[in-house]
Amino acid sequence: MRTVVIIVLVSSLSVLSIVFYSSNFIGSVFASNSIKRAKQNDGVGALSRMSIAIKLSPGVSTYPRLRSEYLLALIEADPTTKEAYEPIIAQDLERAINLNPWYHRHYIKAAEAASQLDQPEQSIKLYNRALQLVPNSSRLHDRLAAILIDNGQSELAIGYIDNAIKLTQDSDWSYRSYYLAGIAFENMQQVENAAQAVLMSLKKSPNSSLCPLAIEYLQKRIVDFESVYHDAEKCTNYQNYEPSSSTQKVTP
Amino acid sequence: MTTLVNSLKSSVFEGELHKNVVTAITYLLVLLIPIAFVLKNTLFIEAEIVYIEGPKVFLFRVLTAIALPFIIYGFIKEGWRVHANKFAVGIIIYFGWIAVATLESRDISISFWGEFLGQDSYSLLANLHYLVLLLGIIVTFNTKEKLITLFKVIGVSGAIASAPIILQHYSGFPFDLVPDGVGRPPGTFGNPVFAGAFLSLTTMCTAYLAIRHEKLYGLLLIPQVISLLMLQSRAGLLALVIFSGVTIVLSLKTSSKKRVLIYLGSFAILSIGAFLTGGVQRFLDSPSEITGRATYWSNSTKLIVESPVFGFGPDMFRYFYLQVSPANIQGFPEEPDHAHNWIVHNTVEMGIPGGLASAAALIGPIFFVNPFLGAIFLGHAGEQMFGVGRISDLMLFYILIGVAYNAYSRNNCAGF
Repeated sequence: MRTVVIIVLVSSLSVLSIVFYSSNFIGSVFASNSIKRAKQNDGVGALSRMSIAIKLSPGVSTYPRLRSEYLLALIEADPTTKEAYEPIIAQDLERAINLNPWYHRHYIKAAEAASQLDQPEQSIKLYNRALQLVPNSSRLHDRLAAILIDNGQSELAIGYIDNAIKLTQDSDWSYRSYYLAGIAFENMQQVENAAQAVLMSLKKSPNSSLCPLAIEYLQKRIVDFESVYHDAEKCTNYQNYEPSSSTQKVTP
Repeated sequence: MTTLVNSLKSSVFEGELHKNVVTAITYLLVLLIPIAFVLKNTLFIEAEIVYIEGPKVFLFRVLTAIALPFIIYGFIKEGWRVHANKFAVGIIIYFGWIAVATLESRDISISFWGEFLGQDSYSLLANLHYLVLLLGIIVTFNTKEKLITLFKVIGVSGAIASAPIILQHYSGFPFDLVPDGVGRPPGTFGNPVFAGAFLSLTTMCTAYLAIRHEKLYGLLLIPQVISLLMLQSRAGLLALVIFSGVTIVLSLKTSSKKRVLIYLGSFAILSIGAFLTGGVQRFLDSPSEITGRATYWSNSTKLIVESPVFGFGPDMFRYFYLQVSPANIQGFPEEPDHAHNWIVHNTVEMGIPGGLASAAALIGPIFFVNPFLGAIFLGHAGEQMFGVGRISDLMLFYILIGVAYNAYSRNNCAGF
């Protein structure tokens, strides 16, 4: 009798396990299909399939994070949906983080979402948490610095920019950091330091994605810019660049 | 081949039902897991090679779940105490410590379920499935004939798994299974290193079978060694070199000399062929890549010092390594999910006791079995000094532990 009870219990466990694993497997198929639809710009289709994936695989932290990305894309396409989707995005990202509070990508995506939804304080908090998990990432230092600058905390941003430069060993990859330093110094009314920092950004990487902005800035700040910097023609993007008259958000 | 078919039929269709089911499931696992895959972009969880890992993990867990009630029944029928010996104590301590490390983990949920459910993992849940498989081997493959048949199936599995690698090498495999940025054929394993780990094990098992029992199965070595050379898997070939070295020394005093010489001669000819066809470059690159691994090991040491008793928990390596991973000038530090060494990895995740238990699992069986069988464990240990087991070769590893246990514990397995 005891043997029968044990076998029945174990068999029940086996059946439950099989159902559980099958559900997860099918969920991953829906998740993959969702990503395909997203790539085809079918936001609604992507969203519905990812929602099914979340129901079938409730333990996979990546799925709610991805759904929040789709919702953010939908908000960008149609800002009137912001009120409807914002709470769901917050829920999804919180769920992703709760399922795996050690995965830095969840915090980075949540910080990006907060930034996109004009929640800078929340974004700063999330980037800080991501930095605790990946302290040697110069990119994260830069991103946090950018949000701080946008939020009027340029003095605080300088510390993070310093760290980013040290982590890139002041290599050519530090062009982003120097550009951010330029923006931060500009906000702190330290015009000369700002110009020097942006100039250094150009010298580190004459043809970076930031070079048009850097050249535009320096042409306005340095009287005889062409005599100070001779490699402006290396910035191939500048020829098609249209100077912006509005305040531009910092995005490293 | 007829003998193999007859052996398979009798082990699956004759005798006690519970043993037949477990035997059939074991053969299915050995044959199907290595070649299981789906097309790219069919599944998504997180890993790049989920189209390879996902189906293998799913099949493995479902089949072992099906086998579980039959295995438990087999244990009850045989009597729980029948297996109490030093080897059994070692197995209990090893899996017991995994459970302890899970309870002491920085995140019990991740250490129990795994980082990303459905992907390959060192979680407690994954290890419970390996334990089920191990128990299945112990309770079912309890005669010398059954162990020999099992090794034949392993040999056939290795030969079958070699085919996609050889076809990919000549761009003749009909499915695109090669991940972006991978230059060498990975077969149906997603990564040439994983393929090398699996094939080195199957090759050693096949060589053992040919040397000790059925010399004709030596023919199955040909596709396996060819594919290992095409993989240019240095760790896999290291395993073979260690196994071959030990086997030579042992064979000098036994009647297996001739078979050993045939096996080694074939291996030498194929190796010379590989070098002549340009396969040497990767081996010359070895010193710089060992330096790369040394970075993982030295950073892992910092983690071990930080948490020496219980480690950080199964499946937590990635998260804590990132906190010590050196800066990369391009922006994000490297994010390995394992330490590229079985013992170091398990020490980080489960503390020094866990590392010792893992080392014992890797090398311990050597002290309980005949030296030829021990040579397989020694060879595999060499391979695991530069990587960690993944689903296919890990499955085979636990099968071998079960085989070693029966070879040691059961009179019916004497002479295997």
